[in-house]
Amino acid sequence: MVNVKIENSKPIKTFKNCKMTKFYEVRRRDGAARIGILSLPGEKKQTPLLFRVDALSTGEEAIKVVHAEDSNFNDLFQEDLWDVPRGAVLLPEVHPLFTNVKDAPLFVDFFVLSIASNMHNSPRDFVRRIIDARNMIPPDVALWVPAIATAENAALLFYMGVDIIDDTNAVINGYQAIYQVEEGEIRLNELEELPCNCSVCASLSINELRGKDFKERALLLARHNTALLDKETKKAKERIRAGNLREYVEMKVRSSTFLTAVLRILDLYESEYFELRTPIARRGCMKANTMESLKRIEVKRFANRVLERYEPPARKILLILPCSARKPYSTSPSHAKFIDAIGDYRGHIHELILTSPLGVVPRELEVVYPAAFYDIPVTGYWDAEEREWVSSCLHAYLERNLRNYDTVVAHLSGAYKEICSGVAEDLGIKVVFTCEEGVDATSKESLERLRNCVSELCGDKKRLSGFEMKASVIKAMADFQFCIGAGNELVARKEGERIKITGRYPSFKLSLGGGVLARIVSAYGTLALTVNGARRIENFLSSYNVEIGDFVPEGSILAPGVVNASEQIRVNDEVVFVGEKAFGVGRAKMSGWEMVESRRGVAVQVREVRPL
Amino acid sequence: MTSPKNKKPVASWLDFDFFDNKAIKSLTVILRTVGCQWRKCTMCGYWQESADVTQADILAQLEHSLRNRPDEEFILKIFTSGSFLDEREISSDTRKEIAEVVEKRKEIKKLIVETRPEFVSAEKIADLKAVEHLELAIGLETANDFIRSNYINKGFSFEDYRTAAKIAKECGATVKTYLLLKPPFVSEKKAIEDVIKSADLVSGYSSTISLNLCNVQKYTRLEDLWKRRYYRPPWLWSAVDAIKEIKNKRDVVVMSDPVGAGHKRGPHNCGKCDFVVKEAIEEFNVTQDLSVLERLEAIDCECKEVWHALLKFDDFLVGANIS
Repeated sequence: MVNVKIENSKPIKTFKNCKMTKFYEVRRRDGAARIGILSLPGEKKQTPLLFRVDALSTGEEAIKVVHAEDSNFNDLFQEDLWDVPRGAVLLPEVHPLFTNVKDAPLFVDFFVLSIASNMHNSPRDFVRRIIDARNMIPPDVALWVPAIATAENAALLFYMGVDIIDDTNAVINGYQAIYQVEEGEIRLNELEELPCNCSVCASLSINELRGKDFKERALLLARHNTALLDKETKKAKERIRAGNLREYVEMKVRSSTFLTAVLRILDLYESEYFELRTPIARRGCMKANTMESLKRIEVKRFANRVLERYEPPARKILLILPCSARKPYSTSPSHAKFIDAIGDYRGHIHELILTSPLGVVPRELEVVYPAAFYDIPVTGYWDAEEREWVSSCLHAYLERNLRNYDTVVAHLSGAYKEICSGVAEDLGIKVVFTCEEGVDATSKESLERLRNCVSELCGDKKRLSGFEMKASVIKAMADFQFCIGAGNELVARKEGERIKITGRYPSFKLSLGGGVLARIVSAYGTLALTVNGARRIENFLSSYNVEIGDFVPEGSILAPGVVNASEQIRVNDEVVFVGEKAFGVGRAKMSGWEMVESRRGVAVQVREVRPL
Repeated sequence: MTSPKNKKPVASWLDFDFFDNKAIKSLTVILRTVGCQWRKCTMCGYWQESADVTQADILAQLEHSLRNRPDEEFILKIFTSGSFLDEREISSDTRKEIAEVVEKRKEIKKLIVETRPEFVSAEKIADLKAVEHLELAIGLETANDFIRSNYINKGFSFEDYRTAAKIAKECGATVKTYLLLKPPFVSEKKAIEDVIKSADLVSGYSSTISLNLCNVQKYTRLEDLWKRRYYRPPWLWSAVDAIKEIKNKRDVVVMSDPVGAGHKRGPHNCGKCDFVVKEAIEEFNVTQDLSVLERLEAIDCECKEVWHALLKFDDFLVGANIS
């Protein structure tokens, strides 16, 4: 264990047995999946990486794998002789030498999971082995799961945090006359034609393939199987880059009950593992096409934060609206109509959007991730699980915030209305419904009823001033991102201050006396602070703090420069960094715990820095 | 009170062995005793057959088995699923009585008993001095102390074995050494290498090397591992490979009873060629003729190529059993 101490003798960075890497670096993350660089002699290779077992067994691939029973195991305890990428065999708990590896201070670039065949025993074992392995080793070290990768399971392996696989199984399958396809395997004698266009399959017919002598046929099949696995690895890598590997995995596991069970077990029991690794925001759209989508970390996290990090504005009427396909909702034709109907009274009304799978989205949060970044298949039919989930979100919201309102109006029809009336009944509250049975919420008739209803309830007209509307968005986003209180501190005008919000929705810019404090980055649905903005709310940023060493960062802050970091921090979070020589703001590129445990990789992308 | 089942052995059967350069009949008797006192070996469930038997029961069991003895010359093997020389299982008096029984029956050419090495002493062997040809069978499993202690949990060292083997030799007994092909946590290739290396190290002490092809017995630690796919019994091709290699270079009798061959709990190949390979090994046992095994080269079962590939990639399977 290494305890780096700084002058005030606060014990800080501790490494899990100071295992560290020299030839491997993680460059990008999407949840637990990563893209990294393994520096082999003369060649840098990207992970997720597919090793060729032929190249490994002939020694072409210059790597070292050391087992706890090998006489040179103790070499891994020191940095000498570390001239090529090297790894240690990670033993399962049932292995008599398990603790020899677990408790050893190892200097390695990767770990190799041993007896991986055990993962096939049950979906639980599949989950256990990888999650346990990942939890046991430092985050900046690669994990290699040998011998079991297939085109079918590779994406799921990467999704779970595996960095390296190999084509052993693909090659062995060749000898077994097993033809791999993206969604499983088929015995060669069960095929009528070769359903593939790889160089092997394009060059001969199935009868020609069957006619080859055993060895040649085995090698051709192996080449096809490996090509398919290679393609799958590349596809998964692209998905990680795009930030939508989860969608791909939801699709991929569908071909196998075993792998589908693995994904469900991960969602049910390993949410903590994924919560620690899931980014706070992405650029891309989150597609919720399966029942598993409801269980995504992004969905659960959003629902939790609406309850824990959101305070509705003080308005007496709550108006519950249906979601729209276009995001943010207020840019959709349907919401334009709703807003038009209540326009003159909007200052009295708080808008809440009911939606699947996010539950409830307050109007002020409609631009945050993932509220403005999801899509679902719309049929009008809501299944029981969806209804139950959305009901529970609405129930929890109303239970928590009901005091805020005098009246609840629901401009909902169909399933939305059923959900809302069910919740109202449960809570014993009265809700005014403004859509007649079977009449669409956007119909003239319904909109008229809405208009009349709010004018009756409100009496005097009260439009929402431009500043009020804009400030409520920035306030809510700051609370949501940092903690309740941050928003008010940021936007509230203090004695003699001239705070301005400019820009076209949703790209608002908050400034004070000509200097920018914060701006909404609509591409990510986040609020970005300037140094001035961060200074203004410094007291509310304790969960998003990165303590750095004695230097003024330029460009990026690397993991070794991080002394300590808040546990809450996730990828793409806005953070402030503080050191003896500098203060600044930036965007996190790894989780806070990862910054602390890593020795390589970019921790924070610096946006603005001020030397002290 | 001793139960009626204690008067009968666990099992006894007739088959063939190799003696004096030819096949010979062999009567194997598995006596029920209080059982092995060690009971900690990863792969062994034999001690579960133990019971609270008396010394009189043991003699009755032997009597019972001898009713099936052949008329012609034969080898008698008396196994206890433990140690014949452990006083707690077989008392000195019982041993002496058994020795007399053997001495009386001139058609018994050789008596083989099994024991852990710590029980081997000149006094105990002296109990059996009436036996003309005595062979002590010791389950060394491997000459590698690391594997034996960590993966098999045998509880004795190679040095303990050597000491026992020397005592046996000094007392005029021969030694049969059991080697285990593929203990848990040892890969296929390393298992073959280990058994060959072990054979090198024990051949000087042994008149017979018996290769035990590891099989998965009920209610053992190995069974837990096997059920969770942490273990696969050895390929029969590995057994053939090891037997050929050992026999080729050394002047010892090499035996291997392929218990459970072709079953998933036992040594197995692909399911198609298992029977032929098993038969060949059994024929080799009683002929010691390597050409019997060499004839297997002609079998072009596809699984042999799979097995070859697995050996070639062994280092990078990192223990995975994928076929």
